[in-house]
This record gives sequence, structure tokens and C-alpha cells, in this order.
Amino acid sequence: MNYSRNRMDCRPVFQQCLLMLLCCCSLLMTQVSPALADTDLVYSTRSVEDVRETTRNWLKSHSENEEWQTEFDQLWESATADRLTETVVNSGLLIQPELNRWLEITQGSIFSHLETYQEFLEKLKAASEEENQDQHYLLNQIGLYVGASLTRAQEYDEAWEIFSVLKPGNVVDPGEYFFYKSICAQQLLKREEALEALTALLDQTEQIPTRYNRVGELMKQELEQLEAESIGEIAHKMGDSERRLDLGRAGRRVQKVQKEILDALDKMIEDLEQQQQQQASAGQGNGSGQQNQGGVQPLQESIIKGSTAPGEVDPKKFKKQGSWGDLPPKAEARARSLIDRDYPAHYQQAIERYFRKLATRPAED
Amino acid sequence: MNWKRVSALSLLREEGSSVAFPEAVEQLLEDIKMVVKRLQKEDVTEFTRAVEQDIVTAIEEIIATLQQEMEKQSEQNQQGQSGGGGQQGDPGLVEKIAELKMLRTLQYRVNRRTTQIGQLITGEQVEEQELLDQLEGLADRQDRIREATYDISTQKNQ
Repeated sequence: MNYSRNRMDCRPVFQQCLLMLLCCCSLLMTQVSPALADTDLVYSTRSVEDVRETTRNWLKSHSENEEWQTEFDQLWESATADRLTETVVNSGLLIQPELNRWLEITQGSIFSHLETYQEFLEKLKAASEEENQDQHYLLNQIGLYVGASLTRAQEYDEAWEIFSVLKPGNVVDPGEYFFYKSICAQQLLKREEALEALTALLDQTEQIPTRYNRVGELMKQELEQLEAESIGEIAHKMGDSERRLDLGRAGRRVQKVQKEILDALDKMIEDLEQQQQQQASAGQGNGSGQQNQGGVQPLQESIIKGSTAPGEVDPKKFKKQGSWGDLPPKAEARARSLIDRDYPAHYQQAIERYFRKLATRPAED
Repeated sequence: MNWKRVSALSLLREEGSSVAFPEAVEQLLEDIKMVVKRLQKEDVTEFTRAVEQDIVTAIEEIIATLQQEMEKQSEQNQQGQSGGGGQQGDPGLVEKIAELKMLRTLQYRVNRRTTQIGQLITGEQVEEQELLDQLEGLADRQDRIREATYDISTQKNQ
């Protein structure tokens, strides 16, 4: 230990200055950015090589020896862009193994590690308020890693708390940050926050992976179509309640969500009943007048007479199922036997020819 | 008995005008089965009695809904025979309100059961395996209610 410290002290002053300068430059690249509301800001996804060098320099400036170099090189040999954060975290643990305890938060249910999680969150909060983020480089990447892992485990409440504290400019993969943050917000029905994170992901982050792009577009589309206090929103909240129950939660949080569902249903029923009363009173008022005139009001839209359904059919369902209009097998057999029995034999051949032709006809788009 | 149960449920599902009502009957049957199993194990704890009470309440709710529906139909028939006397509003709207009320009942039952389980624990997380199984069943119910809600919102029952 002493030997290492001495070695560090004996390092030429110029070399130490250069090292510090490199660290500052590389960290600056990720620090210029924090506010999400700044729509002019563009986040870039950094290359694996770039992050590797940043991490290597950070390790050099925060360790008393360089015994970690071999393992570090091994880790980065197999590093890929989609495991960037994980590789940085594993590299950092080579010199600060005590931080490994934060990763326990991602093992099993969050409630098995509630104290550790609270402690970690406090540490992240304290770190985020400091100006010099260099010393918290590893902690920030662990934050992103834990947040993403909790999101994948559907522990959205806790993941959201982490993403609310973390700043996108302090992580090596801002695309990953915005992607998982938007998932948490969408699942917790934080519409505005989700749309804000999705805008940052889709419009303000360069070179994001295709999967982030596709899923992000879908989430944005769904959120934009979701009307407040609609039945769609109620169904979404029911999904949230289901997730919590599935995770084994029965406490105040899930009960609050369930109460919100009930309140929303009550309000919807009340609104519809008012609408019904208005229709009934309007109907009574107009009823006699219309009968006297002997006229019938024209339809608002063209519909099939007697139909109550809107007549809108998703064409994709036809393609997938492909059996629409088919008789049940028993009924089909009965119909075939009727044809055999009641009609001349050549009718059967003609019908079979017709079905063969129908089967070979190319499907329409 | 089993055959009758299956055919009554099938009838409700195949008739197709209601999404929530068959779900209510299905959940009622699940609760009855659960109580049978618990009683077979001589389990007469507060939770078992609460589920029994839920069954009674559910049957009362279903009967009340059916009675309301029958009264509504007889009113409509009388009005039809007496030659009208004003429009009764959009029939689609009436059905939607009835469906939403039944969904509310189903959701209320899930809420009530969650609260009952919540009272048996401290904090958020359930640890006991039996209660976890209960919550898994509740999650399944919540999913089916969500599906029924989605069907109503997309008017799949029309």
C-alpha cells in the first residue's frame, strides 16, 4: 500500500497534470448537459473505445496502483455498446470493490434490500448536488445500472426515484438513461414526464440503438393517444395494480392505485348517467314534435341498418387468424353430407373445384 | 351440478352482450372453490370467513344487477305495448353504464381482498407463501378485469 502511494508521488509532475487534464476533458464531455427542459441540447452516444479510455483514466486517478490493468483489459476485450454501463461498473469495482454492495439491490425483490436501497438513493442525491462529478463517476454509472435493472424487474417506483436523481449528462450512456426512464414514467402513468424523456431519447440523443428507437416511438404514440380520465387510462392503471399484486405487494401503494381506479370508474359512471338523463329529457322534449312532423331524423353517418357496432374491423386479425367465415367443423361436415345427399354428383365436383380455386388465390393486402 | 355450471357460464360468454357479467360469475366460482379447499383443511381463520362473506356479497350483487335488468326490460316492454311515450336515450349508453357498474363491482372485490391481505402484513411486501399465492390469483383477476375494460372501451361486446 505504502509502496504504491510512493510510486504515485514519484510520478513526474507533468505526467500527473496530463492525466488530470485528460480526466477532466473526458468527464466534461458527459457533464455539459443536465437540464432536460433544454430542448437545444443534444446528447451523443459515445463509442466503446471512448468510454474505455475515460474509465481507464478515471481508474488511474483513483487508484494507488495499476494492478487492475490486466483484468480491465480483459473486461473491455468483450465490451459491446449495449453493455457499456455494465462494463464501466465492473471496471470500477476492480478498484472500489466495496461499492459492489449497491448491486445487491438488483438481486431479488427490492424489499429484501430496502435499507441498502434507501442508503444508495441518499448517496446518489448527495452526489448529484455536488459540482465536481469526477469523484462520483462510478457511482453515477452504478445508478444507471441499478435503475435499468430495477426497471427490467418491473420495480418501477424505485427505479423512477433513481432516474429522478440521476442526470443524463453524468452517465456514459444517455440513450439507456432516457429509454429506461421513459419506461418507468409510462408504466407509472406519469404522462408528461414520459413524453419529456421520450422526446429527449428520440429527438435529442444521437445514434441510439434501433430497439430504443422503435419501442420509444410506440410508447410515444400510445401516450399521445391516451386521453386523461378515459377508460383506456383506467385499463392502464389496472395493469399497474396487476403488476404490483404480481410482485407480492399488498400495502398502501397498491391500495392507493386501486382506489384511484375505483374513483375513476365512479366518475365515469356518474358522467354517463348524467349524459343518459340529458338524452332522456331531450328525447321526451323532442319526441312529440317529431311525431307530429312525421319526419325521421337523418343518420349522422352512413351505417348498416340495425347495426349497433361501428363496423370497424382490424384487417390484421384476418391475416393472423385466417379462419373468419369458416363454419365449425361439425356444421361443415353436415353441410357436405347434405350436398352429397340432395344434389347431383357433379355439384360436389364443382364445389370442390371452387374451393380449390379459392385456396390458391393470392391473399389481398 | 358441474355440467350446469359450465353450461351457464358458456351461455353467458357465448351470448356475448356482456363482458363483465360472465367474469363476475367466474370469479364467484373461484372464490367458492377456494373456500372449499380452505374448509377441507379445517381453516376457519378470519381470511376464510372474509372470503365467505365476499361470496355472499357477490351473489347479492349479481342478483341485484339481474333484478335491475329485468325491471328495465319489463318497463321497456310496457312502453313498447303502450306505443312509446318518448325516447329512452341511447341503448348503447345504457349497456355501457351497466357494464361499467359490474366492472366497478369486480374491481371493488379485488380492492377489498387486497386490503384484507394488506392488514395481515407490515409494509408493502408479502412474504408468506400462502398469501403470495392469493396475490397471484388476485393479479390474474385484475388482468381479466383489465381485459374486460379494454373490451368495453373498444366495444368488443357490441
